[in-house]
Amino acid sequence: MTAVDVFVGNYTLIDFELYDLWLNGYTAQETALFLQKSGIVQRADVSMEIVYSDIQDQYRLFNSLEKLLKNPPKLMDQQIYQMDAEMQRQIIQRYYQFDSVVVREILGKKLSSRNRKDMDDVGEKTRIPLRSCRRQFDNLKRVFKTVEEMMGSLVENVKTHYLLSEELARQYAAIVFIANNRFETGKKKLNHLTLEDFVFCANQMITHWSYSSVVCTVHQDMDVDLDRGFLQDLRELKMISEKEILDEHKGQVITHLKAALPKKSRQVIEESFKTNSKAIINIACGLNHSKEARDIFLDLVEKVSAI
Amino acid sequence: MPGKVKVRVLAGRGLPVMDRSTDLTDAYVEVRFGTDVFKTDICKKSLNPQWNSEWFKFEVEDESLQDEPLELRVLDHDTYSANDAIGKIYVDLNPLLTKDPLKVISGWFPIYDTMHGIRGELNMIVKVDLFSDVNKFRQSSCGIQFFSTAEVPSGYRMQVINGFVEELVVNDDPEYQWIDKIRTPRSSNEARQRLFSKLSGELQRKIGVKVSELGGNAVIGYCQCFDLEGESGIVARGIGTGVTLVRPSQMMPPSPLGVSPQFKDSPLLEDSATPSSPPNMIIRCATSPVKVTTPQTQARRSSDSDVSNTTPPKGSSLTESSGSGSGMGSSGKAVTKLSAQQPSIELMEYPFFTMTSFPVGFIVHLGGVVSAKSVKLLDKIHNPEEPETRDAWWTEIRTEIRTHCRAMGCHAVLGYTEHTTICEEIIVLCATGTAARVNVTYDPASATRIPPPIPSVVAEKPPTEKDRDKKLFVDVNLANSAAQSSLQALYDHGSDDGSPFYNCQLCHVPYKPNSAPFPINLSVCAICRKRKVPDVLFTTIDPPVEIQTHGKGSFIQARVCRPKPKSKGGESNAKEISDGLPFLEYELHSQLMSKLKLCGMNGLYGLKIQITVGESLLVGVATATAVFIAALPIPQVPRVSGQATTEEENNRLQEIQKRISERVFKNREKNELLHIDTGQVSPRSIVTDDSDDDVSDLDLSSGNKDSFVIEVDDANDESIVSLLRDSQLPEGFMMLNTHKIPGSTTLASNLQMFTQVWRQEYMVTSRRSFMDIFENLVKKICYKLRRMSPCCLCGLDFGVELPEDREIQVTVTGVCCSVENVPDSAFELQNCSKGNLLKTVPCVTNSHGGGGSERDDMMFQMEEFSSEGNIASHNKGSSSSEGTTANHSKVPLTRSTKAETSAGTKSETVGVRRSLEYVHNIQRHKNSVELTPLPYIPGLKIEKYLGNYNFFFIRESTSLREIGGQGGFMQTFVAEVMANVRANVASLGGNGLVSYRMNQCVLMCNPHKNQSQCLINVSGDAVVVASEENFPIVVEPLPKGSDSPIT
Repeated sequence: MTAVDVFVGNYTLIDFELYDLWLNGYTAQETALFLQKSGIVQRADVSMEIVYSDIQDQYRLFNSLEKLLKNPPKLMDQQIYQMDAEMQRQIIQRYYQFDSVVVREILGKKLSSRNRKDMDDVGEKTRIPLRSCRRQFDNLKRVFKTVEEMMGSLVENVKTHYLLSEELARQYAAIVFIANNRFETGKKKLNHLTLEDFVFCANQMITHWSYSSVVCTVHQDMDVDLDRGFLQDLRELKMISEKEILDEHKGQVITHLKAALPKKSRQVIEESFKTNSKAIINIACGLNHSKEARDIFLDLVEKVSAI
Repeated sequence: MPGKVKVRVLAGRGLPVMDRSTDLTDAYVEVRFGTDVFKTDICKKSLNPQWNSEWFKFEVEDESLQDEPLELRVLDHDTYSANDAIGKIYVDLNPLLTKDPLKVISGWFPIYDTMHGIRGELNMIVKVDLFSDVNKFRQSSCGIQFFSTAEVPSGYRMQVINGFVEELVVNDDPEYQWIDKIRTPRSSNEARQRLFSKLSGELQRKIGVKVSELGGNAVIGYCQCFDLEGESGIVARGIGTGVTLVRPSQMMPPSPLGVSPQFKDSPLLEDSATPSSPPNMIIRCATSPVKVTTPQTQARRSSDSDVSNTTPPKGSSLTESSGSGSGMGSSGKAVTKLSAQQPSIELMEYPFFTMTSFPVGFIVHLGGVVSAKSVKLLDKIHNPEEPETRDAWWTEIRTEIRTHCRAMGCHAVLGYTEHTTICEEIIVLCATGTAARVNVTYDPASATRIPPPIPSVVAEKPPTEKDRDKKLFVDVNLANSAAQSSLQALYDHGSDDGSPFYNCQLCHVPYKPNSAPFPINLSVCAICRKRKVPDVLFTTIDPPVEIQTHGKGSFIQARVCRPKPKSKGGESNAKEISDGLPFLEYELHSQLMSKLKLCGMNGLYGLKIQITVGESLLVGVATATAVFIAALPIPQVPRVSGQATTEEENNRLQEIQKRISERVFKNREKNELLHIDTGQVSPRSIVTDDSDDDVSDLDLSSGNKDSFVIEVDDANDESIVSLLRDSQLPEGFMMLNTHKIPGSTTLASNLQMFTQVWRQEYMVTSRRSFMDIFENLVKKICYKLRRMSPCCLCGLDFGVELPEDREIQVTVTGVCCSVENVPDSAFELQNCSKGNLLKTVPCVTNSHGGGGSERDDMMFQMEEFSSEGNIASHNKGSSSSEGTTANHSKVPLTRSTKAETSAGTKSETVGVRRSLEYVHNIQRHKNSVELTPLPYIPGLKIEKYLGNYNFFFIRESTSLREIGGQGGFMQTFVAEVMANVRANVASLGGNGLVSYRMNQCVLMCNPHKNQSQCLINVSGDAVVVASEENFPIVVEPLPKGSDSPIT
């Protein structure tokens, strides 16, 4: 057995094919097998031993990079591995990339080590290797811990501390937001909703309902939380459910939607407007009770969309 | 010169967590020089401390300034327990010891700990104020520059070769002292590291004194080694060539060719440090011809600086040299000068030159490789603390080399190297070089073109106007041709005018045919058809520009492993080894010879023979670059001979013969040697007129047609089989171990410098298994670099160690460079890649018809493979986004480059730049540091040399398993060493390190104890390089049908 077999270049070059396999939780042996099946030996005219030695080199590199990847700004500053900025961005981005199905499972759970243990169930269910699931869980937890207590814009915080792309940072922000507010997402009735649905909603909530929303005047808190004052104010909406105001509201909404929606949809809305409006206002009024706020998605699905 | 060292510690970043309770660190820094220590304040609770300290000042005397490194130690303050060490930084002050007042060391240094590796970084500034010591009885070597580069550094002109310098220093090894048993591994390692650093400083200082005594101001081809003798201590050895370098003035008068970009100096560096000379010299110089004649004021300035700067009193008269000097100031690259100062070769005790490339006209005849070896017993040294015994050993070896050299009718040894191998109490000393006749005082090229040069006497009377004119004329011409040739060496594009003049004289045997030192096949020179040449030529130097070669160069390696009975005590072991050595050498030689013939070539450059002694093995590895030298006879296909007793055996023999012939044909094809028009004298060759020789009785028919015979005793003879098994490099790869590139290959840019460390248990089973180790390593490296193909692996250096019983360790360093193809080889291109069209990526072929694109296809189809996933698309996308056409962005980048290269000369540079971007597109902007074993960086020019770097790193780990085993340990360590080197280069304001060498890599493992220790010694020259964009070089393609490409 070879005792030492390493190759080190002045520039650290990442083989992104291997990197992705590594991120997916393939061990060096599994990767070698995978490559072998893909016919690399014939194509490159090399023995499997050489391919394996290359894989090991890269895997060792990934393992030592992993320490730095947990703190991306450190990776950008370090001098041990001479890489260009683009490559650094790439490896960070890919490291923090997640599978929607996996995160959908984690969503709404407390990011505790007890739940980390359940990742093998998640792995089984989603058919994503356990190692990869754990990485995604740990990434979420790490990002959460970092920005949880931070002032300022959630998305910006994720971007500066993890150097992620705008898109990915937004997703993390939404997930952190959901986790922080402990919104219920795991009930059976919500199963048909995808991660993207939640991310969309959460981002809307961050923009419009949190402390960083434009209408919010008291920026004393962070935007991981809903704006308390706003939620208080929501109670005033109760009056809309009174008969005459309800009709007026209905009329205005319909005219407003005239341009945007086809006639058929408008009719559906018109028919169910009364019940839905009442349900929505009920949910809104309850939002200042944190227990009810947590069930917002459940309530919306149960009481509103049941058209 | 004594001086004041000033240090300021600014900040740290990325420190490790030292205090578990707070997850933070209370860091402070101790700055130590010699015995003086300063401390910064404690920066509480921060992993990114800001100290912004005051200037710490040390007053130091000359000696320790050169010997001692500046030491910075970062610690974590603990109120109750002892302060914990975080790590250390050693700063070598030698690069600051020049007169350049602007020099400063400043930047982020990795904080290095021998137990934990790099732990954060420290930002600091170091300055040195030197003041001249008036005491003239004191010899200081401050300001003597050291270059690892084994040639005249670019931008300098060599005035005088002062001669071979060597020094040897001995010290106890702290690791073997009793105190080590009670010390922690960390303090023991640090003691050692400090000692190595000190020894290296002391060595350089002593060599510096020798050089200044000889009248020189610099050492080139400096090579330093440490012999870890174990019980008997550490020996630091250094050898080099003492020279007098001058820096031509920065504003060059327009030379007729208008090129020579790499000689343009940046404004900062005019007249680099040279010791001052007494005033009486100046007076004499005032009458020097040049002062009067030089047309340009700038040139006069340079001569002024020559005058006021050169050589201490012993140095002899300057007049002549400065006179010629300013004439040549116009160009730069050294041309050996006739000068009264130049010691004649006969006067040198050891006429050895550690350089591997020489100015045009320096070499007259090349003789061949000379080597000497000696087996010694370390436990027989009477006085191990003193260097005398070792000095005597080396004197013995060098004397032997000198004798060998004389036996070949030569008086100089070029490309001289020394190395040792130690196994317990046995040490084997080896020295190798190339015997040659050289011309230190006179330039033959000038003789062929102009009337005999003015005798080099000190100008007592003012020379006549006419003489002066002539002189100037000569100089400019010479200088230009030198400039051009060095350009050629770099870019290898021949333009018609100014290309070097081939000179077949170099290949002529330096001795009379009938007085050959050993039986040798001589034939008539294929170029001049007058003088005799050997049928093969082995050398240890880089290909000289004057020797005409055909085709490409090819990497050749002979490997021999002999079992040896285990040591039964010193004496008998030593005898065993010295008895085995001749056989080992013989076998190496015959392997080299057979492989050379199989390549269809007749010359070797850069031959390096490394002998290693282990407990039960004796290993020899000879590495070289094979070429086809035009002057030497065409090698015949080796003929197989053997006693065939049966029909079957006979058939087998014929089979072997057939395979050999096929192999030779294939190799010739690959190296573009199929269409050599021998016999035709290149229009650029100088036909040397050696009428003084008694050529009259020359028998022209003696052109030796005897082919090389391979003796086959048995049809399954291992040596033959393994010879033919020698695998071919994958398509798209070239390999060379020389620094200069012979043949029709041009390097475009650096892609990747690499280090490969391989170690495995090894049992002698067959010759094959030993060969396979190297074959596999080469394959592995090619596979690793597959995405950079087509490329050339240059400056390959193999190191073999036998660290423990039954273990073998091989280290390989080299650099992967992208290549440009000389367009005139289009014909061969088409020829050599037939039938592979199908495999080529269609769009490339379509977009660029023509011969070149077929070549794109290579064995490694990795790119397509990786693009199957979306994996590679990112990095491809980013690299090719730069203005590539839509088709190209689909194609792996290297290929499109290649296609473009062949499409036209002008687009070459563009294409190549792009392939460079594949590797590091943004790095250029991000202060990346290039490392290379070559003395130059292709595609970039060296603007300034910042100093020699030489450092010994020790790393130990007691948690081997946790860091990924021995592999993980080594990988991290090698990466850390490179990171340290880069940080040091960057702190001097540099962005490259040339002539990088890993001189030593000693790895000791104890996996059972979960422990490992490794020592690595690296060296090189820190430089500032700049892209050539501001210097568009007019590269003219070789006219079609002209004889082979240059160099």
